[in-house]
Amino acid sequence: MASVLTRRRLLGAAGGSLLGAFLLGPRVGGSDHVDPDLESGWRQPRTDARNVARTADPGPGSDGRIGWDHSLDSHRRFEHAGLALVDGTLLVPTHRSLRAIDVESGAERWRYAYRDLPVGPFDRPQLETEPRIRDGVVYLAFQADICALELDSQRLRWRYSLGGSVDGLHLFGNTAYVTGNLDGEDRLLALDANTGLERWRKTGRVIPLAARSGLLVGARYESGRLLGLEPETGTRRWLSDAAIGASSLNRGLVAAVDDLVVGIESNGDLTALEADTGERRWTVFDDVGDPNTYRRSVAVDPSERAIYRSRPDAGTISRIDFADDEEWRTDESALEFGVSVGGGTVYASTTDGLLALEADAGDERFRVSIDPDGTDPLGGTPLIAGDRVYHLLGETVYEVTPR
Amino acid sequence: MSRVTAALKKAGWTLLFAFLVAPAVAPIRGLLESAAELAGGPRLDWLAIGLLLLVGFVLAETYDGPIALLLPTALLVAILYAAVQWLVGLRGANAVSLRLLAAAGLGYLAALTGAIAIVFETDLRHRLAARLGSETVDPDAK
Repeated sequence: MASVLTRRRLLGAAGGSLLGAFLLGPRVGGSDHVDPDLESGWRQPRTDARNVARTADPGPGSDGRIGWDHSLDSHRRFEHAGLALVDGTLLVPTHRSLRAIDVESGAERWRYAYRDLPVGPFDRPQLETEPRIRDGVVYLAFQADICALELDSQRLRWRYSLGGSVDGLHLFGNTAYVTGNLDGEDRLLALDANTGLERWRKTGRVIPLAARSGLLVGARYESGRLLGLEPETGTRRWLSDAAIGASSLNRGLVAAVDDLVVGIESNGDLTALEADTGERRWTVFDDVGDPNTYRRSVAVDPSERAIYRSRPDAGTISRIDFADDEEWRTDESALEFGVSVGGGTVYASTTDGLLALEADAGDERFRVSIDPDGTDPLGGTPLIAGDRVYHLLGETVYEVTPR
Repeated sequence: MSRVTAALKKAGWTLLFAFLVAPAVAPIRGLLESAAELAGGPRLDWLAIGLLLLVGFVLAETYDGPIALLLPTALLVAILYAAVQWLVGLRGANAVSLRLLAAAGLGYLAALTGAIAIVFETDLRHRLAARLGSETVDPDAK
């Protein structure tokens, strides 16, 4: 035994360990950004990284009824745009935890809350963002920590800590884009989604909002001005004069499709920007005197070259084509945040449930009502999967099935 | 000497050794916390203290070298660990993952073995050889 502890062997062990630490450490084995494969399913609160709130699935279509409903018994947060679906499990964000709901029965399977705060064992960090899923891992921001949670085991694959609350999180391919304060400065970071290691960092408070191949769209926190970045390097491609309101509270104001970036500006105008240059292609001027854009949202269907705009403050839903012509408009006095489109049907949140419209003409197909828990009926983006729709309203999540 | 006196004496030596090696054991607390976080377990503040006391107890029972070498060795472990962290890129890395935890563990092992090799030189080998009665490892044997 004594011969094991010679100086030479101790130094050998030190050298070997050092080499192992270096090979496993952050300096080695970094990966480059890879765009996502064509994703199917509803992996982000608004379908996918493009933020389009669109799927090919039709949902209940012509008529629907409520299948099950489940009370979360927890406050929700205004920032949460919606929910995600993976392997028969709905992932639902609440104020301080992520809930996993069985999609068939509506029963809660598990919940995840991040660790105790130092201030006390009964307080927990706020869940700042909605679930975003990739390869069996859900990405969340709990106050100042980005967590990659393995869905099978509900254990952390990795965690990345910032100096203050996270302003924004967006998942695109194998990269998680994060905005927050780090080392005393506001930064936009690109993290390897597999390992949590940093790929690049840029100084500035830019909130990532939407992405498609070759383009990451963000908004400056202070001015709300939209800008386009290279997803691989963070290099700025363009800066637009179009600005959205309260970018860190944005839930469905911006979407990116093939050659267009669609956004609702802070003055209520609907604007389409050239994805390559950021120049305005067209603007549909708003006709509301004092617009409140916080509850507005868009759904974009590239195959139909159509944009569906929900304006709860104006009480209208409208369809605008990619050439800025309004094709139809429906008045609905009790709209809430949240609109999506699938298989020829538009689904929109109302203050007491869900409204289904024919996508081509805007005619009402059906509506369902539910008694939402909580005082504020915060809406959510309707999630369309197969012939069902799942919706968050207030503190209630429920299923709508074909009648 | 009564049992109580003997136990108190042993406890005193354990605390003294624990105090002397505390700088070297301190980084393990961070490693344990990260491991607990990844495993989804509770915080392990008391485990780190328990580990420190265990190291102190083992040293009090077995160590027969100069006590004056322990604190410098422990400080050297801490300094080398910080240097290794910087070298392999763990210093300032805000991420925690299984892979980084393994890297940190290996980095700690490198610092620990490096510090022992530097401070004790052949002293440790002589002492162990003498303690175990081995004649095969005397480096000065002609």
